Amino acid sequence: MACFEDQILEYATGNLSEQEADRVRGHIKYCPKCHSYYLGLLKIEADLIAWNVRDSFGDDFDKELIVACEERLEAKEFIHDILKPLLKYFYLALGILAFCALYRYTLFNETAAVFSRIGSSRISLETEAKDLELYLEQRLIGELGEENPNLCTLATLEMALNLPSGEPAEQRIADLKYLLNETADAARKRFFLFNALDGAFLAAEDMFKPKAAAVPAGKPGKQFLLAAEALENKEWDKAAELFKAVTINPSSAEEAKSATFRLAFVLDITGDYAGADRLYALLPDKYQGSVEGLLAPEMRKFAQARRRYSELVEIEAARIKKRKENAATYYIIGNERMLHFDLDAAADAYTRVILKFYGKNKRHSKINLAWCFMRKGDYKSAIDLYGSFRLINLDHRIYGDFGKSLAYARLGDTDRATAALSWEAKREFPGAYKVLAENYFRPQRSY
Amino acid sequence: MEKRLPDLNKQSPDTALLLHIQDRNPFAFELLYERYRKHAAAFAQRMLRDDSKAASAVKEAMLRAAAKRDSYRFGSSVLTWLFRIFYHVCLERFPRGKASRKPEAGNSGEVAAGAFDRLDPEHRAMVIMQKYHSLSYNNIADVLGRKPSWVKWQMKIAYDLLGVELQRTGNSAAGKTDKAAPRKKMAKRPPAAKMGGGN
Repeated sequence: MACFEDQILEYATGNLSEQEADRVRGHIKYCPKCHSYYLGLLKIEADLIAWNVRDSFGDDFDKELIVACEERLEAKEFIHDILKPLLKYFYLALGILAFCALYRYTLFNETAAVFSRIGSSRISLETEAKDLELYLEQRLIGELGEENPNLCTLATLEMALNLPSGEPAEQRIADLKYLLNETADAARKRFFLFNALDGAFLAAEDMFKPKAAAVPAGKPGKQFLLAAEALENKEWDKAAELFKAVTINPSSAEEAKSATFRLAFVLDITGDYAGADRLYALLPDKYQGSVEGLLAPEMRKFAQARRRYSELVEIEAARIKKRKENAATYYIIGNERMLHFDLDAAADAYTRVILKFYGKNKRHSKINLAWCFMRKGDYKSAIDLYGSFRLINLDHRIYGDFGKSLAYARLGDTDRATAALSWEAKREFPGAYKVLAENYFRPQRSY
Repeated sequence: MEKRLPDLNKQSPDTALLLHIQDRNPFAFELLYERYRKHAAAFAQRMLRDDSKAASAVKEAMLRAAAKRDSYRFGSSVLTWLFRIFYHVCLERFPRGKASRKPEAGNSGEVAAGAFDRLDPEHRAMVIMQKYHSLSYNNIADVLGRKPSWVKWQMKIAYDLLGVELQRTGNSAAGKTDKAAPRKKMAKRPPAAKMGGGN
């Protein structure tokens, strides 16, 4: 049997497991060498155990030590208390510097180039107002569909879109911009776009001025004007065909650009999202710095929202078939229809939510339904619905007040339009109040 | 965001105490000292064999623990962390040169203490931690910055040396052996207490 000399020390000091200890114990009984070594270790252990020392150095020592340690704990340390906080600010400053350098040498140059191109182009006031409205309508529908909780933003957009059109173009554009600037906090990026529009509507837009019928057949630009008219009349299929023809055989580069942008919009509306997506993606690169190039990514977002809603609608339609519908089901369907300008179908879906369900979706449905009524020209129904907003909360009340006021303005009742704007709306939203009450709703003015 | 610390009382685990100490809570440090006071005093006395040096070492070690509170890594043993500090402080105060004390005669405890003088600080610390503070080989290895297998091997050597010293001092005390020559040589050296760099 081999000796366990290596393990005897661990055995003697109690560092072996039970099983190993048994083995070593058995071996020691029969091995005189190990037995003698073990006895020697026991003697050492006995001597060591007998070596006693004091447990402490006295209470005074302990107290003194505790006081010294507390002082050490509370003392300011250079690395901990001074250097580390400073390092934090140093890294922050370094980050800011790095960003500034990056901006100066990359983004800044790019932005400056865009502004330079924009500044060199000319603008037509009439087309500017038209395109602002087109963009605004898209954005408003998008925000309504996304259930934007910021009703003040929504109200501003609603007002910007509904400004009475009898005013001179300059005044109207100025007021549109004033109202849009009110939403600048929520939409800095959009503000940049409006600045772009400010300086850059291009020659092709001027072709809206003469009517298509006035242009003789065969003249350059005739087809584009026909397409633009079809778009204005929401004849989507006809507009798509004509714009496609223009993009294949354009009379000028400007026409090609405008036709591509509008074709993308029409494809988007008619549900060809992949086609619209391709064209929207193409515009910023191909026409860098142009208004279309700047608006395309924004419009692409609306297209993506439509696509998402279309997918959701399929799911919700399946739920309706199984009779598992709820408020969200009809609300989503309403949004999807609204995004496609199918206002009757959207209104029907929202009405179902309002009549059958309660909660958040009901509140949002009321907002969207009122908007549908306004778009359809059913101002009286809109006024009734906006009146019911008073029961919800302050934000909704203000939104309702502005909506009601605009509806009365549309009906030509300027007295009621002014009266509908409550003191709460004035207090919360003074800029918009000023534009509406002072510029448009004064009884002596007619439009 | 302000971090939330666990409640503090005498039964709080070591890690909770360290959390509070890292947050500069003096009460937590008091509790920690109370908990490890005996370990610190006993270890320093056995390592240095001089009460005034030991007291100074304990004070310095606790001050260093307070200053280096952030060096503790959560998940490791607090006892090991403290012993690492104790060991290094004692090492700084350890008498330089070879052992110079006379072998002590008297009861077996004093004999053992005398035999310890012949061990180098690392062996001495290993045996003390294992015998009087019940640290495992792994913990000792952690304190000394060595591998456990090395500790196991050196522990055996330390015990062998102790055995030889105990036998010699025991015999010497009883006047049964004539090994005066090395003792005379050692006696020429100045006492260790005067050579040490203690403050």
